[in-house]
Amino acid sequence: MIETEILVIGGGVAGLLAATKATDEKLEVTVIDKGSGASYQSSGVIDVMGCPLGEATLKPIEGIAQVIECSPSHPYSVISSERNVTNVIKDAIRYLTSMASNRGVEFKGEIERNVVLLNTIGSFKLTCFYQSTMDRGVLHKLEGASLLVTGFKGLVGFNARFCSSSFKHFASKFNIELRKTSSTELSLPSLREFNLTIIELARMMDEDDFRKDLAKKLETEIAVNDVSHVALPTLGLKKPYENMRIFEEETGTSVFELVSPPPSVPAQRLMEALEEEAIERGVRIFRGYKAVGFEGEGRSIKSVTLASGEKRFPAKAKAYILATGKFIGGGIVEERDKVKETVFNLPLYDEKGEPLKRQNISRLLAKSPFPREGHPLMGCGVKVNAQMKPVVNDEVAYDNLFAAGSIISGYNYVREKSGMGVAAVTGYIAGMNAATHVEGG
Amino acid sequence: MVVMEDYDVIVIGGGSTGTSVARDCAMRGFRTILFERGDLASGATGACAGMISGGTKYVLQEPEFSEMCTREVVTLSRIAGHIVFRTPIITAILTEEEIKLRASFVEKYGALTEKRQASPILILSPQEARSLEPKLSNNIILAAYFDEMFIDPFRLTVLTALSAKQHGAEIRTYTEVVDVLHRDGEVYGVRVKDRLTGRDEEIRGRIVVNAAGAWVPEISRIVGIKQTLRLNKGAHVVFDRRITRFGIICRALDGRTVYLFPHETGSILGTTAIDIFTSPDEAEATYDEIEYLISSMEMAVPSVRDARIVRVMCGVRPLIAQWWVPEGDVTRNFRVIDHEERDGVRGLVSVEGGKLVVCRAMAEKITDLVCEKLGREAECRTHLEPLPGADGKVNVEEIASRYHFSPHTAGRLISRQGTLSSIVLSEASNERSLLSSVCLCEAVTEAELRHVIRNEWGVTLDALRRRTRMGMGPCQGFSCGFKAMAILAEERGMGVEEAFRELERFLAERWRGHIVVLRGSQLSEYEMTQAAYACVGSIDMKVGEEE
Ligand SMILES: Cc1cc2nc3c(=O)[nH]c(=O)nc-3n(C[C@H](O)[C@H](O)[C@H](O)COP(=O)(O)OP(=O)(O)OC[C@H]3O[C@@H](n4cnc5c(N)ncnc54)[C@H](O)[C@@H]3O)c2cc1C
Ligand SMILES: Cc1cc2nc3c(=O)[nH]c(=O)nc-3n(C[C@H](O)[C@H](O)[C@H](O)COP(=O)(O)OP(=O)(O)OC[C@H]3O[C@@H](n4cnc5c(N)ncnc54)[C@H](O)[C@@H]3O)c2cc1C
Repeated sequence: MIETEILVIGGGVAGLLAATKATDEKLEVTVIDKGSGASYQSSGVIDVMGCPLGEATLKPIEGIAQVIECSPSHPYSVISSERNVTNVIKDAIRYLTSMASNRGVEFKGEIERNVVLLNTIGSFKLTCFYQSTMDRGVLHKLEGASLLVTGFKGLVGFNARFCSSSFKHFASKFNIELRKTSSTELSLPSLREFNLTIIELARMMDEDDFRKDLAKKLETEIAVNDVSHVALPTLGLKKPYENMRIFEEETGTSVFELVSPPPSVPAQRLMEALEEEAIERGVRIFRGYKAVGFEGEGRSIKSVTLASGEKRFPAKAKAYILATGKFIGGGIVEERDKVKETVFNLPLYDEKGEPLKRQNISRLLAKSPFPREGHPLMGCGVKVNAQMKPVVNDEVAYDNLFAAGSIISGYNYVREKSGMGVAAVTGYIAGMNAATHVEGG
Repeated sequence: MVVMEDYDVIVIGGGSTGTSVARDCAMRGFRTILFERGDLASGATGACAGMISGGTKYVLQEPEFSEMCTREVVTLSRIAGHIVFRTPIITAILTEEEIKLRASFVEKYGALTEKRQASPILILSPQEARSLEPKLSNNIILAAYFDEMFIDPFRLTVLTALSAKQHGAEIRTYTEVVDVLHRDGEVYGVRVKDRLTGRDEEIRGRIVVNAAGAWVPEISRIVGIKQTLRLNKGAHVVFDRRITRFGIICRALDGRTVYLFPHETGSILGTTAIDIFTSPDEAEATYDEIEYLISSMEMAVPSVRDARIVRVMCGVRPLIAQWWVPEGDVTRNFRVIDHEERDGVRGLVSVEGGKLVVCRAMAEKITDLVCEKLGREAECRTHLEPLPGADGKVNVEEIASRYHFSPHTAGRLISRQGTLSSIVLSEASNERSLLSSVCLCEAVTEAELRHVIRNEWGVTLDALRRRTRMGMGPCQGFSCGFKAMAILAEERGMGVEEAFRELERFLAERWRGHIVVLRGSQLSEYEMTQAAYACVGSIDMKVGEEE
């Protein structure tokens, strides 16, 4: 049996932010999580609004305004009915990045501007706030650079040769000319000869001997190549800035880390930092517990049933925050033609705010895998009001229930490039409001 | 336009039939060229279950055909041993009337088991059956145990093409026959279009063999010949893991037969049979077909309902045009058509019907006719000579320890490459990073990918998938697509844009097989692929035009 003032279900970005925000009000907050979700799989940078209505923009604020005008069910639009949305996004992200910063994970970026980063696939990513290990690699700062893309023999999923030509290509698409791109594949005796993962490599980089060897290797490479910038697939898990400094000093170049698809070291770094900081500020976190049901009375949630293995027990709180994510997180599942919310069985809505019918799921998918307009399925979720309270037919479902993150409907983060931004701001607001609810009695 | 030199034989179609014809013709000394508009085995061949049976369904109605199938099972096991495997099967009987239906089959088919080098058919009580296969339902009233052989249809086709090449044939994939050159009642060549470069060519030949499967009538139409096939669509549902240890066969809800076979690392559930009257290009599996299969198999194996589906595949059977009988009663035998005799058009031969299991026999018959037409006497030797990689046994442990990599990965490689495995790995002694698994689901190493790009017409990511199973596992190309793209681009000197276009095409192909079956726990894999490629890889964003 757990008793707490606020119970947060789900410990992704949204849940951790909501929980920490609520502890600011000196409330007792408990997060339970059954495992992990999309936040751990993300690339560890914070998108706010990259492609409003499917068109790329370098100006997130304009993008947000466009969305507010055209998509009334978008969480940003819903929030804008009560608050200045740009300010609250700024606050939420400042809150998130300062949590990370307290644990040594630094962010850069500003809400006025999106930046283009390069990734280990060999293409680019548009985002707004990024870890400072990536700073020297922001595309518009690379004009005229001579870039050395550094791979590692045996590392799976990163082809430095290919990236060196593709980076030049994509940079030119953004009207940035890289003076030169070259590549190398380092082989270090302490590394696995094949099937080396990026996470293993990052862990190695945390070790003094290894990074000394690596710095030397890099130095010899740079001596033969005329290089101003060095791109690495990772800079290590725990000491990336130290590594960056050492490598920069040793080579006299600017060094940066690339964005990567899962498994992503920066995402792991960020999530570990958020979790440690949340605990530091008094949040209790229990992993390995799954919320499987609830008991309600009228418009109030009385308890949530938790499962751990075969055991079942209730968790009681004054307010509950649902931050269970989408399909990766497990907040939404599909069973026999029905897409369902898993804990409170809340009805789901589509991107336009219409109730979701029971239907063959393929009707919510587009014919092509990556259409600019996105798949309707990715816009489905629970519907919330400006306080982040789930609503059913425009009525608040439960007075003491809030929702945050990608469980919320009305936006498609895949198409829009807004995932962490929405998770942060909805988590921030849900945390504040849940606290107010509890304090108000 | 380039006009190519003359050939004796031009083969249209790179499925199991066409490649077998090219091999036989080349082995009998004909100058042979084969055109396939897509990849090898991209038609019905790649959508089939790969069961090479003694013709379970035909043993009663067509005993001679059943005998032929039985002979071919033995031949394929000999000439392609490393890609042939035996699967034990339980037929689950759910109703009294089925017992009567199946009785005479058991007797007749049982008589053929020995010839097929299979174990005898055993009748099992429901308890016995369930102790062997706990996933079986409590509702079965009787069961029969027997076994069947299976072959990897992709490897069979590629190895047949490789053998043809070794005997001098030219194999041209992604090259579509767009015209058949003919004058005065005589076919003298074809015009082809390279689908990757867009280039046109004319090729002259003394005989054109139309082995285009379901597309045979479309080729015939070009020279004014009306040829009708009974085109019949079939779908398979592919699951992420082995749901049952045994293959399971049971009656479908409409009285047909459906099966659930362990297949490579997963299971496949099949199949439907629906006559189609539009172009075979349009054939797609529908939601109802999938529900039909699941609802049918659920009676015998209840857990199939909640198993994780990774994709669906669909193909069109080029059946001989028999009408006024249900699909199940249509012969699976084949017919070689001499269009000179039938339509007065010289230089054109086609084939109707048939099955994967008899592809070599079909080719033998066709090549006999080619010999007759071109006035050459040469014996067929296709049943004697092993296919590349099938000329001996390879020890998994030995290979794994020689290269210091996992026996699992070595085993998967050997199951595809047989004795060629050491050639595939030859560079890995010095360049150990080639042993990295690019595709984790199916344990495909970089060395294998590079080998098939260089030696097996691996010109697209899709082609790499067919040859190595890369991208066929639960993640459906999410984790291997971009890695393989870089390797392919490097090997083939592709530009960056071309490489990403190729990646998009590959993911789009995977998506087509996915869209109707996407459900349940597979949705988290879907979100991962969507986000990794769109959120991180920006594959959905076009830059340059509007920036
Ligand atoms: C591959 C990938 C790359 C991405 N890249 C970016 C990027 O670069 N930038 C960006 O801004 N966004 C990115 N995103 C999107 C972003 O990661 C998500 O939108 C965001 O992390 C969602 O956060 P969340 O907290 O709502 O959900 P999640 O992180 O999924 O968290 C939900 C949590 O709830 C838990 N949970 C679910 N159900 C239960 C239950 N019943 N009981 C207990 N616990 C439960 C889950 O275990 C999980 O930990 C990416 C996403 C992916 C998948
Ligand atoms: C669902 C299903 C399950 C099956 N299961 C089995 C089984 O278990 N065992 C078994 O023995 N048989 C099975 N079969 C039957 C078997 O798959 C087919 O009979 C056999 O593969 C047909 O081979 P093919 O080469 O004649 O046709 P295809 O494989 O269809 O080859 C024809 C080729 O011609 C090409 N082509 C078409 N037009 C042109 C053109 N203009 N220019 C160039 N190329 C062209 C096509 O791209 C295609 O690749 C199954 C069939 C289906 C549909």
